[in-house]
Amino acid sequence: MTTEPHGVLNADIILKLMRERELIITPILNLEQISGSGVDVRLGTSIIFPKKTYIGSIDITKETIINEKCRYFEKMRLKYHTPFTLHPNQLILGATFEYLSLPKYLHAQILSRSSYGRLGLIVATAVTIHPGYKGVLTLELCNLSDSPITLYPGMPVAQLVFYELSGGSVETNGSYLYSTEAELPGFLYEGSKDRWELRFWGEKEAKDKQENINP
Amino acid sequence: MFKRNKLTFKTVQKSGARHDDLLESFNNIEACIIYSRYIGHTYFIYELTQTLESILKPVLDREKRASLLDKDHNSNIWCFCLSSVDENNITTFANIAHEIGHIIFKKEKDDILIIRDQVLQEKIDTKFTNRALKLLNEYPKEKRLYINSVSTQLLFSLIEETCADVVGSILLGPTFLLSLNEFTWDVIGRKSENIWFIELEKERLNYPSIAFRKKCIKSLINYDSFLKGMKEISSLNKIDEMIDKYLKSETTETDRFLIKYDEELEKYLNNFMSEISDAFLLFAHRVYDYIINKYKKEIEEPDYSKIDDLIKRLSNKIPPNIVNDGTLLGQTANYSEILLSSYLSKIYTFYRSDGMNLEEKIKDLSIINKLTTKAIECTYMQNEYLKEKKKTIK
Repeated sequence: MTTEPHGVLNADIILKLMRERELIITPILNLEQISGSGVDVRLGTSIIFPKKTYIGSIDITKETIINEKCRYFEKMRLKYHTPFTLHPNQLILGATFEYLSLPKYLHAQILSRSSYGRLGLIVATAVTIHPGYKGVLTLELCNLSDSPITLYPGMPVAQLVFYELSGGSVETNGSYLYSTEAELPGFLYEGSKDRWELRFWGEKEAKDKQENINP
Repeated sequence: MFKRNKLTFKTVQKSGARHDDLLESFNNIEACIIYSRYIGHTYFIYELTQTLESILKPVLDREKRASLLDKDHNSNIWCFCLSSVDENNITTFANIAHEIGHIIFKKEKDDILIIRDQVLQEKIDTKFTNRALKLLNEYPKEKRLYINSVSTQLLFSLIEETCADVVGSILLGPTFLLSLNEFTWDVIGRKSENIWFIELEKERLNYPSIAFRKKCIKSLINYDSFLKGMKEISSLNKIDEMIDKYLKSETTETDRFLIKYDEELEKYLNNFMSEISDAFLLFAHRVYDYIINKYKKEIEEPDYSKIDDLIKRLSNKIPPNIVNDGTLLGQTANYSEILLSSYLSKIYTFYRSDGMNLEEKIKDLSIINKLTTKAIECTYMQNEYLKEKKKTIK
C-alpha cells in the first residue's frame, strides 16, 4: 500500500481505503465515526450469555463439550431501543453491528473506547483481527466496575485501529470468517483444527496425574 | 395494547420490519401488525381482532371489547405468521407480500367484486353458459347441486388468492416470482434435487395451480423485460438462462388452472379450463391496474445496475446493504433489491458449472443467506437512524 514506515493508519488513509473499497466497514451510519486514527463501531443485537450451571467446569479438551455447549451458553437477540444491564463482573459475548472486510495487507485491532472503559466496560480481550478477515467481530463484554452498566444495541462502545502489514500480504482462513452474529469459541465446534492438540495436552495432564497416583 | 412490533429483532422480525415498510407503501391502509413464528414451511395471515373478540366475548361486554380492541379507529390487528424453518433462508420471506395482498383484498373487496363481474360479463357469453348448463345437467340432481355450490365457493376463494398474488407482484416484482417458485418447489411433485429448497407441508386446495400462478405473475411483472434486464448483470454470466431454467425445470404440471380438488368437480371444470384461465388472467390485470391507480403506486422496473452492485458485494462476501452512489456512505438498498440480488446470486451458485463441488455450493449458499439477513438488519437500522436524525435536525 505505502512505502512509508508502517504504523497506525490515520483517518485520511482509512477514508481513502474505504472510498477505493479496499477496506469495507458497513454500515457506517455517520461519518463522524471515522476520526483521528480509528473507526468507532457499535454494539449489535446478537449476544451470547454464559449460563450459570450445575455442570462442572468448561473443559475444552473433552470432546463432549461440542454437544454440551448449549448447557453452558445461550444465544439471544437484543431489541433495539431497549436497555440491557450488564452486571458487575458479568461477561457476555456480543458482536459489532458493523461488518468488516479487511484487505490482505491490513491488520486491525478492536479496542474499548475510553469513555466506556472509564465506566469499567471492557469490550474485547482478544483484540487481534487478522488480515483478510470478513465478518462482524465478536466482543467479550465485561463489566469490571461495581455498578451495573446499561447498554443499548447501537451504542458505539468500541473502536477499530488499523496497521499496515510488514513483509507483504497474508491469507486468512479462520473459522470465524463471514460471521454475522456473535460466535462461540471455535473449539466448541466439530472439526476444530486445535482439537487434537487440545486433547494432547489434556491427555498428557491426565496421564501425569495417573502416574503421580500410581508411581 | 397492541403496537406494531417493529423493534423486536429475532431473525423472523428482521424481515418483518421491512414488511411493515411494504404495507406502509399503501398510503391509506390502517392496519396494526404483529408477527408470529410458525413452526413449518408456510406463511399466513389472520385477523387477530376477530380471534380476540371471540375470546373476550364471554368475559367483556361489547363496549369494553370495542374499546380494548380499538374498534373506533376501524383498524384491525393482523397477525403475520412467518415460517421459522426459513429463518436461515430469509429470501422466501418475500412470500409475505402475498399475505399483505389479503389485507388489501379485504379493504377493496367491494370494488374487486365489481371488477370480477365485469370480467365475467365480457368473458362468459350465452354460448358458454349454455354449454356449462348442458354439461351440468348430465349429472344427477344432488351432484349438480354439489358441483354448483362447491365450484362457486372455490372460484371465490381463488379470486382472493389471485388478488393476493397481484399485490405480491406489485410490491416485489420479480423477487416475488422467484420466491414463490422456491416456496412451492415440491407442491407439484418434483423430487428435490435441489440443495436449498424446503418441502411444503401439504397441497393447498383453494389456490390456483402453481403453473397458473407463475404464468399470471410473469405476465404482470413483464417477465420478458426482466430477462432482458438480466443481460445487464455483468457479474453473473448467463444468469438469464439460469433463471429460465430455475423457473421452468420443475414445471411438470401442464397449464392447468386448478390443482386437484375433487375428481368429479375437476372433470366438470376441466371442460372450461382455458376460458376460466383466460378470465382469471384478465381479472388479475384489471385488479393490478385498479390497485396501482387507487394507491397511486408507481411501478419502477428494477434498476439492474444497482442489483449488479449488490451482487458484486455478495460475491465478495459483503452484505448487500449499500448501493454505490459515489459517496462514502452510499445509498441504502431497499428490501426488494436486497432479496433480488440474493436470489440471483443463489440461482447462479446453484446452476454454475465451473467446477464448484456440491459441498462448496452449500457453503456458499449458506453464506449468501447469512449476508442477506445481515443486510436486511443493516438497512432497517440505517433507515431508522436517518429518520431519527432528520427529526433531531428539525
